[in-house]
Amino acid sequence: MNRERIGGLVFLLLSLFYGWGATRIPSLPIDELEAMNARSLPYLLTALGVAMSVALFFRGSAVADEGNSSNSGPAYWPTALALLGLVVAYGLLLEWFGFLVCTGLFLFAGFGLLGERRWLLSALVAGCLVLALWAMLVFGLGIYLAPGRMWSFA
Amino acid sequence: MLDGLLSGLATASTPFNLLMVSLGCFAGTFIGMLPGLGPVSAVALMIPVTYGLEPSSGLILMAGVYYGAVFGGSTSSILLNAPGCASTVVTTFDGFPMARRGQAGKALALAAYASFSGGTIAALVMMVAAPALARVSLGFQSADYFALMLLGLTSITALSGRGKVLPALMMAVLGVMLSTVGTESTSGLPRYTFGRMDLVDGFSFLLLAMSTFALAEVLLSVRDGMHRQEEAPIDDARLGSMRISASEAAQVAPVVARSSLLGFLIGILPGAGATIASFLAYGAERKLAKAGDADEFGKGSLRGVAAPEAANNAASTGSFVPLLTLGIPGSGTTAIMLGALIAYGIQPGPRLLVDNPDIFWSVIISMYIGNVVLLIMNLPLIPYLSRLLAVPRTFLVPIIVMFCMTGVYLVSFNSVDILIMSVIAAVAIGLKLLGFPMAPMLLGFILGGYLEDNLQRALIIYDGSWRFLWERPTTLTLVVLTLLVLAWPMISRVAFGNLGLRRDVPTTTE
Repeated sequence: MNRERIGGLVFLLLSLFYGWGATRIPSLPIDELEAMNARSLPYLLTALGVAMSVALFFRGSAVADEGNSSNSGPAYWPTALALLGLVVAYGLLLEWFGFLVCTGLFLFAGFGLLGERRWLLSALVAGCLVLALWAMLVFGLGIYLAPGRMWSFA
Repeated sequence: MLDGLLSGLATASTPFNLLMVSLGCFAGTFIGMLPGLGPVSAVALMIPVTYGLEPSSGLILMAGVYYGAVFGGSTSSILLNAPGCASTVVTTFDGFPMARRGQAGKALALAAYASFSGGTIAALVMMVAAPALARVSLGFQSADYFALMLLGLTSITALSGRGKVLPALMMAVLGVMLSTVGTESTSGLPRYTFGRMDLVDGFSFLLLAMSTFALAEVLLSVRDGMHRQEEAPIDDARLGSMRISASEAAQVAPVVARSSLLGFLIGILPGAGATIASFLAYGAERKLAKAGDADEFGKGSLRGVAAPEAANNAASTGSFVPLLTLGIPGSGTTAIMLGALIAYGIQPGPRLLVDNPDIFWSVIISMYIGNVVLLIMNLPLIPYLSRLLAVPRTFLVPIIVMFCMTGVYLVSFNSVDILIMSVIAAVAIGLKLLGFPMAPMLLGFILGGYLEDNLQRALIIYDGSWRFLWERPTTLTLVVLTLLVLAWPMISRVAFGNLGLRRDVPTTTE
C-alpha cells in the first residue's frame, strides 16, 4: 500500500469520526426553520472529507510511491522521538519542578541527547541561558513564574 | 492617503519600532540561515514575543523577521548550497558556483542589493495598489466575503505543486474542521467539546502554529540529521570582496526591475508566494538573455542571482496586499500573521484601512525600513552572522525547542498546552510524511470561522437560498476566479512547460 492510499485511509477515518461527532452536536427547536445551523457545516465538511479521501485512495492505487522523504541520508528517528519524549517530560514535570529547574534540565538533557559530550560546557550553557531567560521574564517583564509544587513541600 | 502615510511613518519610525524591525531582521536572518527552518518557522517562533507588544509593533517585528528569514535563506544558499527556505532554492543555482570561485561576498552583496531593490519597488507599488484594492473591497457584503474565503482557501491549495492539490485541499478542509471545535458563534451550542471545558474556546491558534511549523519542523530536521552537521566558519578568503562594479550594476539593473515587478504581481496572487516568483523570474531571465549570457546561467551568473532575489523579496511584499486589503493571506507566513492580527482583535481586510490606518500604513512603511535595515545592517554583518552558523547544532536545536515550549507556556501558563503541542507536532509529522502540507490546514483553521459566519449571514439575507452565488456580480466573479484557480494546475502545466521549468516546486510553505 503506497503513501497516498495510507493517507486516504487515515483521512477517511478522520472524516468519519468527525461526521460521527457532528451527529452529537445538540440542536435547537428553531433549527428546523433555519437555512443553516450548528450541524450544517460539519455535515458538509464530512461529505467533502469522505469524497476527497476516497478520491485520494483510488488515485493512490494508480500512482507509484515517490518515497516519504527527500532526504537521502540516514534518518535519525530515535533521536527525534527521544527529543519529542523530552518535550513530553518537560510538560509533565514543569508544574512540579518549576520553570528554572525544568528548563535547565531539559536543555542539559537535550544537548546530551543530540550528541554533545562536553558535559561541563553543556551544564554551563544550560545554566547561564536559563538564568538569563528567567531573570528577563521575572525582573524584566514582571512575569510571575511559580517555583514548582515540589519545593513547596520542602 | 498622505495622512495615512505620514501616520504610518510616524508609527513605524518610533525608536521602539525601529528597534523591533532591526531585531526582527537580525533574528529572521539567523533563523533563516539554518537549513530546514524557513520564514514560516521564524515567524511562528516570534508569535509569543509579539503577544506582549502593541499590534503595530508586533506586526512590524514579524514583517522584519519575514524579510530577514528570506535574506538569511539566501545567505545559506550562497555560502553552503543549503537553502534555508524554498524561495531561495533558485539562488543556489548561481550563488553557490560564485562562492566556489571565491566570489561569495559579491554574490551576497548582489543578493542584498537585488532584495533591497525588489522590496523597495514592491513597497512603492504597494503604496498605490493596496489602498485602491481596499477601497474597491469596502463594498463587499457577506456573500462576497464567503466567496473570497473560498478563493483564498482554494488558491493556496491549487498552487501546491503537481499531484499535491488534492492533499492540500484535504488539509484546508481539515483546518476548517478544526475551526468548528468549540462554541458555535450564532447559536452558542458546543461542538466537538466532548464535555471538556478546555475545548469550549476551541483550539489555540498559537498552539497550532507553533506545533505544526516550529516544533514539527525542528523534529523533522533532527530526523534528517541537522544536529550532526558541522559548519566551518566562513573565512575572509572564501568570502572575497563585496564590491559590485558599475558595469556589473548596469548589467543587473534591468533584470532587477523586471523581476521585481514580476515578483510583486505573483506575490499578490493568494497562494502563489515567493518560491514560484523566484523560479519564474529565473526562467524568464534565462529566456531573455543573449546566447552567451544564457550559457552562464547555472555556472555563476550575476543575473541568475539577482533575478530570484529581487523576485522573492518583491513577492514577499506583494503577499501582504491580499492580507491587508482582503484579509486573505498570500502565503503560509502571512497566514500566521493573519492569525496573530486576529489574536490582537484586529480583522485584516477592507476595514483595516478605515479602522486602523496606523497599522495598515506602518506595516507598509516598516517593509521599506526592513529593506534598509537588511542592507545597512545585515550585509556588513554577514561575515559575523555566518560565523554564528558554526555554533554546534547540538546546542542550537534544544535551544530552539525550548523557545517553542516556553513560547506556548508563557501565553497560557498551563503546562498541559506543552503536552497538547507535542501531540499535535507528532500528528503533523505523520501527516507531512504522508504528503499532506501544513500551510493549507492553518489557513483553513484561520478562515473557517469567518467562512461559516459569512455563509450563515448570506443565507439569512437571501432567505436560505444559494442564489447569491450567481446574482451578485462580485460574488459571481470571485466564484469564477475560484473555479479558475482550481483549474490552475492544468493551466500551469502549459505555462511552466513553455518556460522549461519543473512544476513540482514547493510553494505554500514560505
